[in-house]
Amino acid sequence: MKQENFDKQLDALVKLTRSPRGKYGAEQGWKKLENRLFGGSTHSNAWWVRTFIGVAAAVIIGLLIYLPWMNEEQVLMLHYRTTAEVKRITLPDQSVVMLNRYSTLDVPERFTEHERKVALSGEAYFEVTKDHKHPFIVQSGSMKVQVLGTKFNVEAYKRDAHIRTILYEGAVALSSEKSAQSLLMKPGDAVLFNKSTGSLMKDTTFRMDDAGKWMSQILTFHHQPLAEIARVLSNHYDTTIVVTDTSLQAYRMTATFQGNETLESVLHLLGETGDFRFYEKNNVIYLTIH
Amino acid sequence: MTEQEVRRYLRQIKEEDSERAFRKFYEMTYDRLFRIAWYFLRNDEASQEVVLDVFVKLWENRAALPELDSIEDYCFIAVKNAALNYVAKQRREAALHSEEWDEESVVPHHSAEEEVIGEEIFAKYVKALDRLPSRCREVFLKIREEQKSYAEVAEEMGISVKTVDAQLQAALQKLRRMLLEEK
Repeated sequence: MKQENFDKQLDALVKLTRSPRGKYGAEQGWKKLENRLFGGSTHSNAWWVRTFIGVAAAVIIGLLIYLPWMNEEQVLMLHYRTTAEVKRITLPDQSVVMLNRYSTLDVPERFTEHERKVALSGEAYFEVTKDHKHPFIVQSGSMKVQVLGTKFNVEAYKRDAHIRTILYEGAVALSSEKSAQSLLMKPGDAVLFNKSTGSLMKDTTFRMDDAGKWMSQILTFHHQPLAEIARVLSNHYDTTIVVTDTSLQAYRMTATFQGNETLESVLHLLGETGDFRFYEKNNVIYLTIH
Repeated sequence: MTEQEVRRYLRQIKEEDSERAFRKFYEMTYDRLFRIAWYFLRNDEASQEVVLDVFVKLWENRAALPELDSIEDYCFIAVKNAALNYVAKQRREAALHSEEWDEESVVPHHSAEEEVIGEEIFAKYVKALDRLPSRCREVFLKIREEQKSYAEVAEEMGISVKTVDAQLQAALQKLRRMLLEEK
């Protein structure tokens, strides 16, 4: 918008809308809104009133669904994004999600009649409320995690070659659209989904004691190969870290970090123990033998 | 009103199920949402109806609100969607009830000039208006929107004509700054 035309443009903008006045103003509006939400100026908190209203509403909603012209309503998607922090999110069905750093979760404002579907990029831990009629689905790229009610963790970072799913409680069915494969998980299982081939397989290097610690902002590695440590650090600090030598990639280490240290101090400590050095080039960090 | 203040109320609403905090949030955002609805609907009654519907949804979703990236953007989209749904519903009902119906009365339209300005700048304008100090905004709207004279405004608000002029100039300056800055 050019400076010279500002006054003309402002005039045009003013004409585009009107401010609320009189009976269409905020005060009058609140009276109507208060009635709808809180039942008028004398709040009746009697449980039987609320139950009655709830039942009546359910009946009305049931009828409305069958009217043909109601089908085209647009559903709003809520977009959650984290940077250097972990977020706790409550979903429309009261399920709880812990969203790890540098991740995004897309949730519809209201779940549909048939299923509860969300989209994840990054990492999240889910505690899903039981609802047999509405399967809960987490979509990450071409992989689907379908559950009824359960506790599980999905690691689906963009820079990783695999998506890892860990099941803590309940039952989960993993399916791959690419390979038409599906797999049923038991608590304690960890499964890897290969993004390029679309295949599902059990994660043999997985250790339950290391799992879930990210929610308390702790990074722990028990006898993990440096390649895996580099991957976790990459996602935690949102920086690509590459281990150059194959022997170094397989080198196993054990360490615990608070998660809020600088990447540099973490790599420094690891490098001292593991006898490797690191340097940065073009925003990528390289770990290499001394 | 700042995004920070709004966030504070959103947290309160979520944590305490607080009607009081929700009312504060409502009072801070009602006018802006009304203006957004009016942009799409060109009708006072419909705009209020749509905005109140959106507030009902906001209350129902109050648990999710504090974690949203931008509550302002979310509200804009919510109101726009609700307004467009409203228009679509009106069309269907009009088509059902009569063979001949007046397109003009049901479907709001924008003049060619408005098309050139575009939704994005309008959204910026409506945000900028909200950020003006309240008296400043009141003067600006009375003069530019309601087309009142300086004398009328001075009398209504119990201030001098000089003050009216000063407030208007301040409003124009602030709006110019906010509208011209790149996002």
